[in-house]
Amino acid sequence: MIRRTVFSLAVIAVTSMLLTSASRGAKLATGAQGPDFRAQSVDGKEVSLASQKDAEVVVVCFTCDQCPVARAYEDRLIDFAKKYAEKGVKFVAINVNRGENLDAMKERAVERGFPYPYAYDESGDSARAYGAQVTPHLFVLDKNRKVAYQGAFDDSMTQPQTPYLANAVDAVLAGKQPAVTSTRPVGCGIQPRGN
Amino acid sequence: MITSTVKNRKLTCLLVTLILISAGVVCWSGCGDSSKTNSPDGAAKRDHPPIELRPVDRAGYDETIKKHLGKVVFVDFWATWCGPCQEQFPHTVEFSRKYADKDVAVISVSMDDSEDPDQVALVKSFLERHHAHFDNLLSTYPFVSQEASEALDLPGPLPHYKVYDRHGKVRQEYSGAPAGLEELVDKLLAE
Repeated sequence: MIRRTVFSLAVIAVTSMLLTSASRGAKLATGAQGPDFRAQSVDGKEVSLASQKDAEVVVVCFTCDQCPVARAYEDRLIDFAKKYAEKGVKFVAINVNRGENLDAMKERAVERGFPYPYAYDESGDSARAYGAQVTPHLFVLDKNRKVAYQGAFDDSMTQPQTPYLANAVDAVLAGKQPAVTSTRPVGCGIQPRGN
Repeated sequence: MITSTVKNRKLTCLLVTLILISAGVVCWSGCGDSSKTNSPDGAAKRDHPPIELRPVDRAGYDETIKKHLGKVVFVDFWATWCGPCQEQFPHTVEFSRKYADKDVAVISVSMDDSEDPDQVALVKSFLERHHAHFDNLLSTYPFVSQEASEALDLPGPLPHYKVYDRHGKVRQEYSGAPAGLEELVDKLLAE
């Protein structure tokens, strides 16, 4: 009887831990190798993780044209990418949504002046490999391309107080592990082909 | 001259069609007997109270769940900016109708921006359009925030669904379409 109670309590404890962990459902654990990806950038070039070899840090941002949340974050992404480019951070935006296309993406990139590659992965493989669930969903890869942070850009779209992404990248650039390695990504569900 | 006659006729036809459709819609929601019982036959005859949208925080949400203790509760977390949520919502409405006679309660929780009157209006009109005759809640947490996700125990992506048993305990959660929902609910009803 006691053993069963202890066992039940253990199960409850473990389950609660798993459920409250911010990386609930995350495909890649912190420290896992960031998978390579291949996508077609709006400027006609192919973008891949392998080709970012000179970057100190790579930020992979799964985003899209149409999601209102992704759109609302564009200014923040642009500012971030510009500011951190000079610190050796390479920012790459990938769109996998099956309802979208490179032409529309190119228009948006030009209109908004994206200072980073905005690429379309038609296969959807990159999103699946990273476990990207919404737009925008961000992944910080360190010098060895291991996942140092994944999740949201900051803690709130309308009242941001904690810049999770910037904090994580600052930590990695300083050779430390981010205090927060994972947050819940909020946005529109990603809709890749092949799902 | 002939062209304008044809145009006029087409316009008149369109106008008549629109009038007929509007009349049909008005009739659908207003006609029929005023019985308030949710009988499975003649959905068009139900007289429903107007669609309400209640802004809530976690406490308000818990209160709503508690109100339905004794029933199996299905919660649909959605948002007007979430395409897949809107696609799935009619299934939630269908489910609520199918189980109208059983001990089942349906709750929708919009994760839209309660501070934005335009968004609130969008939420209301969406619910009205889909005849969401159940508890409709609106999160009062900051829009698209960690706080909102944490307070309501959401993993992030929408739509998200929760199924509570008769004792108010979460027994299943879904991200994306809730496959196997009816089997689960039937099982929980039998408990």
